[in-house]
Amino acid sequence: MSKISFKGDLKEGIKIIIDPNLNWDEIRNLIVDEIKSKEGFLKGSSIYVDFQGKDIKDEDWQEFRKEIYEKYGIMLSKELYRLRISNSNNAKIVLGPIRSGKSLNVKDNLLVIGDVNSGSEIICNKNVFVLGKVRGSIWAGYENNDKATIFALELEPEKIQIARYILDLSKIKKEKTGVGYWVYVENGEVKLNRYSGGKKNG
Amino acid sequence: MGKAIVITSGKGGVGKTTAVANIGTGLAMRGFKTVLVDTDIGLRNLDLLLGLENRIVYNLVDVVEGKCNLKQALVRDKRLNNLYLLPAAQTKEKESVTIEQMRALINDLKKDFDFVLIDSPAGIEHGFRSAISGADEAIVITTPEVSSVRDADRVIGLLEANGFENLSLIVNRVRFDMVKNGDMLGVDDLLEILSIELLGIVPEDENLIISVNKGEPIIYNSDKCKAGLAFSLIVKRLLGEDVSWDELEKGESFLERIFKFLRG
Repeated sequence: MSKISFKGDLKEGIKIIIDPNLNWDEIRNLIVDEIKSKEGFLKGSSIYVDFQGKDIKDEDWQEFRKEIYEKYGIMLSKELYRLRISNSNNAKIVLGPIRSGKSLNVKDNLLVIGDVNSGSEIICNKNVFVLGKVRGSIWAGYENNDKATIFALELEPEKIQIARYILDLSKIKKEKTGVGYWVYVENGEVKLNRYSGGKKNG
Repeated sequence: MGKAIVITSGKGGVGKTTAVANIGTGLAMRGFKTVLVDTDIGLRNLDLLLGLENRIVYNLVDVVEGKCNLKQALVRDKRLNNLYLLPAAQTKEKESVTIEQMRALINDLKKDFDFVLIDSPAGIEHGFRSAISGADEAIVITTPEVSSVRDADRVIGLLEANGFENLSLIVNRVRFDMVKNGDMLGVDDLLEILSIELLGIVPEDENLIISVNKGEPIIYNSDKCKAGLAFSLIVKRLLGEDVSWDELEKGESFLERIFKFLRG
């Protein structure tokens, strides 16, 4: 098996899988080599880089991204959520508001257009997207699927859970920049991120 | 064929019965033949608010059980001869009337009256389900408190699930001064959560307590007090008239001005 491998399909887009035993300089060089050899094909695309758990210093990564973008016009990203959404394209669409006392149980992805009101609950095995305000409770990935994510435009929930992890609600802070909130599990902990169109967090 | 409107809230004590008494009186004052149906069997109240407690002979359960006919059970109002009350039984339970019986009863009333106003019990159990069963439209009433709003939300969900399309909201016991200071949920906040059409806002008014104890609906005093004015505006809106939302505030600020003047 090569040190880094290139993969691409219609669902997941293009991704580079990195052997976590490599050091940062080796990784850099290998990625640059790969990109150079396929430059014509890759120009203008965005590539997801899977470090398979390897820790990369944020400054190094940002600098490298910038360099690649300026030289080749290619956007690298190591955020997972874009990839996760595209894993399955089926979603149940529900028009809101989801009112108090209502319990929605969905196996697939769920898209709620409207609010999720206080006293209601959503139980979903995959991703939940709420184009509105969440005041009730949401449990995504109930069959212990910790790859599930939750997106909501506004978040004032009673409870947020992914797989068996419960979000510490004190982490939710009103922010002015960005749009909406992403909730996902990373290293056995529920994390909350302001969504910024995938540009800033890279 | 008249129109049956149920007034409901989920939570108790938010003003369902007061609203029924006042809206019903208001409709009758404008010449519509109106009947008020108290479906809160076992916790009868509506008769007190109209001051009709000592005129009751038969009640709703007697009608259903065939002890009397519908006309015998109707109690005519003291002041208005086109306003009637169908009282609840105080000694029976909600389950003594089935949903089908209630639907048939409301349908019978709709043949004789322009408006049938149904006072629903608190809760979402059998009593609630039978109260809404015969209605064409529903008015949900709430106060600006989180507990009451959540219950209203639940009730709206149940009404929608039962096929109600014409839902409107009355917000009761609003204190504009507290809303202004941010100590109370505003009407806008409620509408954002509940997302249904607003029918009216009733300010907190201590005259209401007096009116309930006297058995005289406050709408008779709509020129003197805020809550009375609010209910008369609700009646106008219910009849499809275009009423400006400023009117209540206008009335209020005028009273306040006098108040301030008197206090110096």
